[in-house]
Parts: sequence; C-alpha cells; structure tokens
Amino acid sequence: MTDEISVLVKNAQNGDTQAFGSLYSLFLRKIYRFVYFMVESETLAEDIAQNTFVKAWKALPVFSQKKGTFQAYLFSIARNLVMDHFRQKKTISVDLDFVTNIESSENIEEQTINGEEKQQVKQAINKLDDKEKQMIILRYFEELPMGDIAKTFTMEEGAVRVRIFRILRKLKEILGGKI
Amino acid sequence: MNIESKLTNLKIDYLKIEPSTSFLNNGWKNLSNHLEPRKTHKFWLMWRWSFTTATLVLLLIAGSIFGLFQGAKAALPGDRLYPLKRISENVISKTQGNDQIKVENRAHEIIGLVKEKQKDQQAIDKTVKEYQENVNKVTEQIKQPEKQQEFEKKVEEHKQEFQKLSEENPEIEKDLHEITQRKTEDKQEEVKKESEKSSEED
Repeated sequence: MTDEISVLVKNAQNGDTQAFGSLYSLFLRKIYRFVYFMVESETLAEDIAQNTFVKAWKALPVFSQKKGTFQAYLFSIARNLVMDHFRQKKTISVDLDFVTNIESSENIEEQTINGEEKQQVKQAINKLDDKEKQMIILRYFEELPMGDIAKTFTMEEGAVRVRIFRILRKLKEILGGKI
Repeated sequence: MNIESKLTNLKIDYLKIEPSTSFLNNGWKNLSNHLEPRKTHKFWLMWRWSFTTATLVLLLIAGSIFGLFQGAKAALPGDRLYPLKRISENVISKTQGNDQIKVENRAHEIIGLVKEKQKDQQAIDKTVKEYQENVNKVTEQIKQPEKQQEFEKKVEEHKQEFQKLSEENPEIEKDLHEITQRKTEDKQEEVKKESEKSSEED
C-alpha cells in the first residue's frame, strides 16, 4: 500500500491528474472526517477538504516523501486550513455533536448504555484546545503513527509522545469527577 | 475502563462520519476542474536539464582545450600542436612581462630536436637562432638584479646541457658552437675580472 501511494505521489508530482485522483479517493474520507470533527459543519468540511487537495496539488512538486508521508502532508494542510477558519471565525463551537448526520446501526438500548459515557468523553475532548483535540483525533481515531503526527504538527516525535501523554492525563482529570 | 479504551469506543462513532453521497460522487469531478496544469514544473525540469547539459558541454570543451594545451607543451617545431604551444607561450610571456618562457621552451626544443633520430637541420638552426634572440631580449627585459642572476643561472644550465649534446652529437657541434662558445668567453672574462680584482687588493 505504501509503495502504491509512493508511486501515485511520484506520478502526481509529474503532473498526472489521474494519479492525484486516486490519492484523492484514498484520503478524502479521512480528511473529511478530521475536518468535520473540528468544524462541525458538513458544507464547511467539504470546502476545507476540497481546498486541502487543491493546496496539496499546488505544493506537490516541492513535497518530498523523504521528509514525511503523503498522509501527514495532507493532514498538515487540512489542519492549517481549519486553524485559518477558526482564526477568521474567532469563535469555536462548544458542542461536539459529530454523529448527528450518521445513521447509527446501534439499537436504542445499546445507545442508552453507551451514550452517556460517550457523551462525557466527547464533552471532555471539547474542553481541550484545538491542537490537543487534533492530536487525539489523529492518534486514537485515525491511528496515525507518532512519526506522521510529528510531521503534521512540525514537532519532534518525542515531544509528540510527551504531549499526548499529558493530554490523556488532562482528559482523565476532566473526566475524574464524572466516572 | 481507562481513558484509552473510552477513546477507542468513541472512535467507532468517529469512523461513521461520512461525506454526503453527492460530495463523494462529484467531489473529484469538481476538483479536477480546479487543478492547474503543472507547466511550471515541466518548464523547471526542462530548464534544469538544459542547464545541466550546457554545463557539461562547456566543461567538456574547456577540458579538451586544456588537454590540448597541456599536450602542446611538449610539442617540437613541425608537430601539429606546435602552433598551440606558441600561442600559449605568447599569452604567458605577456602576463609575466618577459620572454623567459620562450627561452625555456626553445632550450627544450633544441634538446628534443637534437635527440630525434631524423634530425631536422633547418628546424635546429631556426630554434637555436630564436633561443639566442630571446636570451638577449630577456636580459634587457629583466631589471631586478636578483631575477637577472636567476636567469643567468638558468642560461648557464642550458649551455652546459648544449655542450653535453654537442659532445654526444659532433655533427651539430657547429650549430651549438655560438652558444657554447659564448659561455666559454663569458667564463674567461669572469676569471680575468676576478684576477684583476685580487691583484688590485694586493
């Protein structure tokens, strides 16, 4: 898979739009999810996801796979676009209701059992700052390797490990009274 | 349940986030219309390729010219590269401000020509004449006593070599006679001057 992506990236760097189309299909859902989780708007998430790929295409000739994976490169662009959006908006929504547009397969009983606990975790994540929230998404929801997260945030891998450890401790503290 | 397991539970919900069907169906179609063709990249690649090729060609030409001039250094009168040797020595003598290089070259040429099996008598005569002319020129050109001494020493070395040559090749003794003879006369004059000096001191 990594080799396949690597070939697609090389071809896209040489101007092959079809190769870039394949990369788009491979990563669109991931980027959309990540953005939607942050902005909580379907239209906005679609716009930012599209812009992520436009920017990725423009900067692709100078992208080097030696410096990081294409996935980290995309998340890094998406993250910057989300931050730009928040800077413009200056207000961040407090509620994290990211499953409202999904048809859940769980039955009502299961939802009642898990629902409350999930809601508490969601609220706790919402209390984190944007960077912390993004790190949790990338590490625990997208399951990105530490190296990729480090590239996305232009940090050292060791620093990312420490930061995530602290975020988890913070989440525990937030949830402390509720568990 | 620890925090990591709770996050894993929440991940199930997270992964259910899906773009709308219309976005999934038309997203790439819309995006591909907005992608600028990568002209600049191709142009840059072409430019880089041309630049590299041009540099290589220039280096090759410069290397060949340098090689030719290096090869011409050992050329003797009548050789194909000899005119190149004359060009390069003219350039060197102009930058140095004197014709010492010409004296050096002619001396080597005389030796080379004499040592050749089929001796070109005409070339030997001409080179000997040029050698003599250049020695006279340089003697006038050099003003600093130190450098003059150095040059005289060099000429003396040449003469010794010429004398050796004329002993080994009696048939060219006549040609080198003028140069070697001059040396003997010079030495005799020097000895005479020294003896006069010593008698005056006494």
